[in-house]
Amino acid sequence: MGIYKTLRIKVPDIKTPFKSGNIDYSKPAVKAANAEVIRSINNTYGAAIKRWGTVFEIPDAVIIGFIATESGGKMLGANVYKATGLMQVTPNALWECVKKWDSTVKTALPAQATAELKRVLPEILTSSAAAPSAAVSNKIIKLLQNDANFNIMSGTLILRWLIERFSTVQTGGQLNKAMVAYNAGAYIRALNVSSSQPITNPIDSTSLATNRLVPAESRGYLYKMLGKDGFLSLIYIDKVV
Amino acid sequence: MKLKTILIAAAILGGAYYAYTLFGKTKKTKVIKDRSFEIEIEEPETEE
Repeated sequence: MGIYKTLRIKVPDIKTPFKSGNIDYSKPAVKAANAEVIRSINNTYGAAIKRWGTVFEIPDAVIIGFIATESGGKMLGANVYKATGLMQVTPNALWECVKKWDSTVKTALPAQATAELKRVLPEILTSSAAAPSAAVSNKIIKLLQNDANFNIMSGTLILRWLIERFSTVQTGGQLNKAMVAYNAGAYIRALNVSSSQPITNPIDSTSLATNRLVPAESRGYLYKMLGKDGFLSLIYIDKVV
Repeated sequence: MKLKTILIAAAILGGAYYAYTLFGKTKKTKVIKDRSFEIEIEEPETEE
């Protein structure tokens, strides 16, 4: 038994592949390219993925899939939303999840994560502010861009927080909702949630991926991860790593 | 007579095995369980 909500995943969970323009995840050339991205991520960041996957009890394959989908395995600079690095983490999301960890997850932040934060970003543990100051936000962005271990820890921490938030007694953790929240924000209307409203309505991935209230990018995200020949299928069915 | 019986039995057994492999390859799933997750994986489909 782990200490977190059980995450149940079907692979694939959507029967059709991601398609956009000329890109079709079931085409052999695209499958081969995606497999290469997965291998590269695993070869380069596998140790950090395993470390934080173990700490937050998230399958390595899910973290690899997130990195592949978010950045293609590249340490990207901050975009207009300040999403940065491998897992496209924003300073505000990391700050919020650390601050609300205890109340949402009902257990303390893992000691390994606390130690890492204390070492590189002690402000996040000591400050009582609801959001990081501009200076701290810039510091977080630099860490996220230059420190892959910090980036993977942050992204995995946020993902576990979202899985705990989007869980019910009946379903356990819901990866599909956590994915949309990770990509589009935890408070979007499509997820039927406000800051004070608990999630009570599980939804299957196909319905979520075809719901027009969900931003197009997030719908694509579901297909890329959970669809036929998506990243989780390449790892678990085709065993590319 | 004996040969005919053997051939019929072989045909029945072969057909049953073929049906079993088809059924198994399209319906079978594997479940990986760990501390906080369960992953249900569809086995690869038969090639057409």
